[in-house]
Amino acid sequence: MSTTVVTLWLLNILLDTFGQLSFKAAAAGPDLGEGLARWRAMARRPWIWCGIGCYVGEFLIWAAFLSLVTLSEGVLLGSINIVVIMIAGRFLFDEKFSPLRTLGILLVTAGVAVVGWPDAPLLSDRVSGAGLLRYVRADLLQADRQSCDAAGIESGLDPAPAVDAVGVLRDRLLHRRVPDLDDLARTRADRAGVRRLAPWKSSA
Amino acid sequence: MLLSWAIFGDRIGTAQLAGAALIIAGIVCLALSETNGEKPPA
Repeated sequence: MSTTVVTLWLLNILLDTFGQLSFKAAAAGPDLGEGLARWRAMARRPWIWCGIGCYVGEFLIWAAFLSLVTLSEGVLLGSINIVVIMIAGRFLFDEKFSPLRTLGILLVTAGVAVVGWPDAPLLSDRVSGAGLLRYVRADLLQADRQSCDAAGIESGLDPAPAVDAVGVLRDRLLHRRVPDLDDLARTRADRAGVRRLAPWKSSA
Repeated sequence: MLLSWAIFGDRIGTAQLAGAALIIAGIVCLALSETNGEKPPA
């Protein structure tokens, strides 16, 4: 996850937690009356507006967050809010933890950690072929080096364009486009890589 | 997650599947602690 994503995620957790605690502070108390009178009493408390403000801010942060991660990943990462809110409730409102509740918190935390773990193996990599492309790239670089060594010339193949080529292919695969190796020549960075690979191709 | 996969074509990773399973298990535990009327320790 990038720094921006982590920042937005933490802001979302902060706003969601503070919003929930504000709502709880607004709704708590036996002296609020019943029915409509209770709602009126709550509306007079500043906490309720503080909570609404937090939720408005959270909505904006969440929208920005979702523009950087997939919805499926974002929703799973957002589950940590449950844990943070429960821990905050434990300290601020003296809500007790039972063993089963503690186990639930630990499981949710572990789940979020697994989803957000850096460089977690992604099935999507295998599906899209990006993982395979990494090996292809390594093979291409090695083959180029070998062919150049055999011909007694300097390879000069910069790994960077090949990395870009993999990125281009990966993006296309992720967007469900059929990969076309000829497409590599259509980008400036890839063109440099393919040209340098040409001697290897012709000698093969 | 399932809807985002179906509607937006999100790719589901093994880490996401494992994480989702753990989160669901955790939420089930939290729900059971409520529905069983479990009394938290004082």
